[in-house]
Amino acid sequence: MLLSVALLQTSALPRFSPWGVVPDLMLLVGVSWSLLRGARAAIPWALGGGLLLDLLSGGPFGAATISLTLSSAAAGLEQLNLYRDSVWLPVFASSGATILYYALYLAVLNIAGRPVSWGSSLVQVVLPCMLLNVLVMYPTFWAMRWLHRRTLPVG
Amino acid sequence: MSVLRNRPLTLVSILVTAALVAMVLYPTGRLKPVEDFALTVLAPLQYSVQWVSARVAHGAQTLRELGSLRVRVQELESTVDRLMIENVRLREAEIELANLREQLQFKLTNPTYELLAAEVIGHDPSNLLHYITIDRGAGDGLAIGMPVVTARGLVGRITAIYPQTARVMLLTDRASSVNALIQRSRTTGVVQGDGQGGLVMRFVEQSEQVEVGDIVLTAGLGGNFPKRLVIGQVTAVRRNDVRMFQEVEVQSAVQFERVEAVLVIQGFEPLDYVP
Repeated sequence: MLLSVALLQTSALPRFSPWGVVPDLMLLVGVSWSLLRGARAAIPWALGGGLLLDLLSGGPFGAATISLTLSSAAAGLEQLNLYRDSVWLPVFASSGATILYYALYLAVLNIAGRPVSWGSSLVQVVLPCMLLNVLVMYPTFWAMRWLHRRTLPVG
Repeated sequence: MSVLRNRPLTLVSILVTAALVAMVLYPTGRLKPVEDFALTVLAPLQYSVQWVSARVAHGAQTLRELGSLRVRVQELESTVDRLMIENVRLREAEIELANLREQLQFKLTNPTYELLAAEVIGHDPSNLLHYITIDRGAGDGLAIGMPVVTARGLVGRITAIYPQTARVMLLTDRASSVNALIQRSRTTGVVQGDGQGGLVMRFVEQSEQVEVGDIVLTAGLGGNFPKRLVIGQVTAVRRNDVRMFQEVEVQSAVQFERVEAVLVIQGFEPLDYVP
């Protein structure tokens, strides 16, 4: 499943990219799983997804793995709060996770010696991505909730 | 009226008489007012009856043809589906043909280059990086540093190579830089990606004349790219007295995020490429 998501994100979605950005489907899958099953259950998914993205990316290896794992795990902490059943939770979780994901990614790029512009990246990449991720979050979250219910351990 | 009802013969006589009178008077036109009045009264009735009967007839016909109509609808639906698929195929073929024509044109105008056509099979998953993956690799004779172009201009260069695929850093990536020159004035500079899909030519001295519309080509300096490949066109020039260099916005004709087919310049060996 993670492979399908990675292929969708790299080969299919770029053809339909509004505002010049592509939704971070793998991040949304990780965040959804984290909201549904908790941070601990989401970490293996995020690690696997991150490794796949790193494999398909021209960036420094590990950038996606680190960013995806930490931001997905952080979204899992939402489970602790009182709003876990709120319909707005996926919106806030995906927005926060997107910002954290890109902040970490930019930090890794910076450490790896890549040229980074924090200001323009925030305005021209992170904000459009955040809006797009919020839009794509609901269908992703519903799909993952369906999977969550199907794979719940009996009893 | 009761007199008439009780004596049918009287009624018949009156009607026959009226008919005879009408037959005699009709050709003379004396009955025209009566005729007009009668038809004026009858017309709406005629229309109503015709309307109802037409609907009833259509309804009955529809009911009769219901079975065959269902079959017909299914046939038409399958025809529409087939035509839609054919239409999509034809559009794809048209786009492919246009791409191939452009590639052929590039090959004809650059006969010295050894070119290999490749298709784009993936984009970078991060919105912060601008890379594409192509379906040709080491097995096809590709190597790191080889320039990648389309007929519309320079696309980037190969930064990673695998047996069947290769990764290409697009000009728009922040880490990309190409030594360039303005075709008209021979002014040199470095074209870099702005990380958001645009190109900026930097290190252009303030004294140099650069104008909107000027064509920007690869300079060939440094040995990373061949000379005279089209990079784009100047769209804006930013001069600032405080700064040492002016900044030139360059618009490429290549749609980097939508490019589907590219050409790799195989014969060119780049010097000291560091990814």
